[in-house]
Amino acid sequence: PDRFLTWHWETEEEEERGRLNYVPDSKKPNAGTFILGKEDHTMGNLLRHQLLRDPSVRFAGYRIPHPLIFDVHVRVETMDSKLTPINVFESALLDLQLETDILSKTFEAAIAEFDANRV
Amino acid sequence: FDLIGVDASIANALRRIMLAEVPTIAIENVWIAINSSIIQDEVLAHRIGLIPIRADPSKLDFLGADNEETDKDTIVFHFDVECLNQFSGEVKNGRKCFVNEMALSGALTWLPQGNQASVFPEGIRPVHDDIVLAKLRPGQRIEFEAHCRKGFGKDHTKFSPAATASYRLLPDIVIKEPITGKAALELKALCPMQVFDIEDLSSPGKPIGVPTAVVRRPRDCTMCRECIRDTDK
Repeated sequence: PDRFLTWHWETEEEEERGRLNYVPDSKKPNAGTFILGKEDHTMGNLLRHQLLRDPSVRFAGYRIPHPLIFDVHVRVETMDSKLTPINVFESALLDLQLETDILSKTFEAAIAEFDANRV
Repeated sequence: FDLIGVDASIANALRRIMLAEVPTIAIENVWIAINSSIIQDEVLAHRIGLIPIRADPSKLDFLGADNEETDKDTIVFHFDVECLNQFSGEVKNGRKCFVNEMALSGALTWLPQGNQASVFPEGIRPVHDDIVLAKLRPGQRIEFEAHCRKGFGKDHTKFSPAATASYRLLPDIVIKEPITGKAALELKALCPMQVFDIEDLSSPGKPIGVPTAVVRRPRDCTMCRECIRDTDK
C-alpha cells in the first residue's frame, strides 16, 4: 500500500470508525483487545508499558499483526472484574497524558533556565 | 539532553516522534522551465526536494485535502542560474573556473505570496546556501519554480527535522570496594574510554591520601566491560 496510508485516512467515515475499537475476549472474562488504527510502535509500546505498570493488570501486550496493515492491537486482561480492561486502558492513557505534560513543562523550564544562564 | 526517571519506552516514543511526526517545510512540487544541464529533470527535482528550508512550520497550515494551494499553506521559490563562458577568476586545482559553475541552493529566491511578507518578516531561505544542486558548464542553464508545503517525516523523509535521533541508558558504574594503589592505575589504563581517574582520597584510619580509582566520566562509558574482564584483578 502507499506509504502515506500510514497516517492518512481515505474517508472521514473510515476515520471515525477506525481510530479506536474494542473487542472483548470471547473465552475469558475481564479480557479484551483494543484496535488502534493508523498507529505504530510509537503508541503501541508506550501503552503496553504503561499498562504493565498497573498492578491490577494481569496481562498486557501489543502486536502489529501485519506490517502492511497499519493497525496496532493491544490486548489487556485485568485481575478481577472490579476493573474492566476499558477502565484500565483509560487510566493508562490519562497517566501517560499527565506524565508527558510534566515532562513537557520540566523541559521548557530547563530550557528557560539554560537560556537565562547563557544570556 | 538527559531524561531522569523516565522509562525506555517513553524515550523511544520521543525519539520516534522526533524523526517522524514533527512537521517541517520542504519543497514538494517543482516546475522546471529550463534544464540544459546533464542532470536529469527528475534527479534534479529529487535533489531540490531534499534541501532543508529555514521557515517556522507553525506559521503555515497543512495543505488541505483538495490540494488547492493558497498563500496560507504554500511557499514559492524561484531559481535561475546560467553558466557563462567567462572565467570567474577563481582557480580550483589549477583549473580556471567559469562564472556560475555550480548551481547552489543559495540561488533560491523567495517570492512572498499574499501576506507572507508580514507572516515571515525575516525572510525564508534554505538552511545552507552551499548545497550543490548541479554542476554546469558554459551555456547550460537551470530555471525552475518550486512550491513548498508543510509535512512530516512519516510522509517523506525530506520532512524529517532531525538528521537522526538516538537514545541510550546512562551506565551506572559502582565501585563496591575501594580500589587503591597499583590496581587503581591498572584500572585507569584498562578502560579505552578513560572513564576512570585517580584521586588521592583519604580513608578513615589513613591520615595521608591514597591513590584511589574514581569514576570521572560515566557518560563516555561504552559498556565494553574491559574493566571487569579479568575478575582476579
